[in-house]
Amino acid sequence: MEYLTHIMILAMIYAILAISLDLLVGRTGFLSIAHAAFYGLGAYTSALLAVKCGAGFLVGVLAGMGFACVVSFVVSLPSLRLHDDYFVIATFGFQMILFSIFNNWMNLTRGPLGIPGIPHPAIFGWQVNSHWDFLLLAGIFAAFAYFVVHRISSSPFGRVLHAIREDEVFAKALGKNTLRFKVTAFAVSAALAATAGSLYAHYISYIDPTSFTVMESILVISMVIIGGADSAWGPLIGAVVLVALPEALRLVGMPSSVAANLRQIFYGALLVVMMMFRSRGLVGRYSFGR
Amino acid sequence: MLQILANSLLAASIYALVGLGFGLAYQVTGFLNFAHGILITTAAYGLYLFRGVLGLPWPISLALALMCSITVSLLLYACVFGPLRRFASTPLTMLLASLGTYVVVQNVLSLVFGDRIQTVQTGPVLEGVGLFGVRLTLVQMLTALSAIVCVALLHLMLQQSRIGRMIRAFADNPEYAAIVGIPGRRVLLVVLAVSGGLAGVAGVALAVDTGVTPGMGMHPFMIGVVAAVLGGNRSAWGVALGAVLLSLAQNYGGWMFGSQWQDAVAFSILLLFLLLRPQGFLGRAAHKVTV
Repeated sequence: MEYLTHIMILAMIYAILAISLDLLVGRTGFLSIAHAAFYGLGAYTSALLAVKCGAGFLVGVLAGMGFACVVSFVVSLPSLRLHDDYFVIATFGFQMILFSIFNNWMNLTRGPLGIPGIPHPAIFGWQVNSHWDFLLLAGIFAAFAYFVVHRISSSPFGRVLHAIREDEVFAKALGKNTLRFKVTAFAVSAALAATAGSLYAHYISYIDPTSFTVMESILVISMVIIGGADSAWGPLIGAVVLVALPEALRLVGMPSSVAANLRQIFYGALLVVMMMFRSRGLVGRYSFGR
Repeated sequence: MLQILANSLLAASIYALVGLGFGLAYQVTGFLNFAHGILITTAAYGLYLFRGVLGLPWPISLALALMCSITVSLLLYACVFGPLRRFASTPLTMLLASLGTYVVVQNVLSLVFGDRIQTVQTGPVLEGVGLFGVRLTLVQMLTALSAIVCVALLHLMLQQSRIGRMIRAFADNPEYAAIVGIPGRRVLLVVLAVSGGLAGVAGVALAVDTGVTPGMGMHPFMIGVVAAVLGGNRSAWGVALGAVLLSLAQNYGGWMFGSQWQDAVAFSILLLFLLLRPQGFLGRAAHKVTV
């Protein structure tokens, strides 16, 4: 049972990542490969605050969100002027820079050694220790991310984001300051990713840079695309499928080293097949192709 | 100092090879192909298989390794990107599919050969040759030499030969090129083969110099893309120049801040460039953006 809740908690954490990335990819039409960087930013911020300053969980979450927001401006202001491929390359570059900081700034992040001993969260006297408690907490955060993204995209603000995705010049012609909308969407998406990072750090109680690599970014992108971009449940479904699948392989009795490869082969191949036959994903509305 | 210069030029030759092949394919196919990175790995494993496992002589192994990456380059297009294009795809769907392709091939290689680092070089490690106070191994000199030859040949091919003119015309405007009777399929075939071959040269050089792992292709690929962005999209020498300047900055940056910061330096330069001059050093203004 504990194993099952563990999988469900991970699925919730990835759901937060996928839902928040969907705000940028599905609803605004900008593909970012830097999502794992913001995820890591949140994780490291709250882990360091908790371990070095003894800060509480919520303080860490808020600090992570704020920090991710601020850093997102550094990326988004220059790179959101760019289009398509250049934006992808720019976010890739940013992902590499942040990974390099996680991995090499020994005095702060302890590099590949990672940060152990991150305490379990305590919120206003609610000590989150058991898996069930944690599942509840992760569920609340996922619901929060879901709520934020859906409020935004069903608001007038979100309609402008959709307009930018469909035809940015047209949105500009209507007098919308599209850069401001894009930068805001990017910041919200980054801040939500940071909450997933804080949750992960406090849940696993140990973080190291390998959890925040480019491959992690690609995994989250696959979740959004396979589940379906710009849809209510797509990113959530994608996250659950891609988290649960390798566990299913393990239950079948596959050795875990082979299962890790097979899992990646599966989602890579699924990404290709989806692009060919159903680029709007399982339940998505936005298709990248047409 | 001279040693840093020499190391930079060596690294630059790898980046230039990757960046050139990527840039050429990018201009003709029109999408950012992450699967280009796997061509490097494929050639490296090819060399490992033919030389390290089967023990064929060097020239044959090298040729077969290059054939591997060229074949994979063509195969991937024939099986994935070509059909995908027929589904009225956009550059973004192609990019996502190439990410998926990269992940698949890397993991297949990892399943077949294992994650452990494999070496091709057998026998005693040769001591480097000293030259003007700089130490270089034979492999490193050969790498640099072949990179220079490749850049020069590519430049000649693009500027002087008939097929080169066709490639440039096609890259400029595929529809117009088709109207005046340029065979698109042949251009595509040549470009894919050449870009696969260039990635293959980089791959075998890396394989001999540092060993073979399933994930080895991603890093040189990304730095190669940065070199291609810095160099602009118009000339082979631009990309080579971009690669040299990039690796000089990397190595001197690494020398100043510590070598672990090389990547951070490279990608910071990329962000600066994208901000200030997205068309690169020698490039003309980027293509008109259609949103």
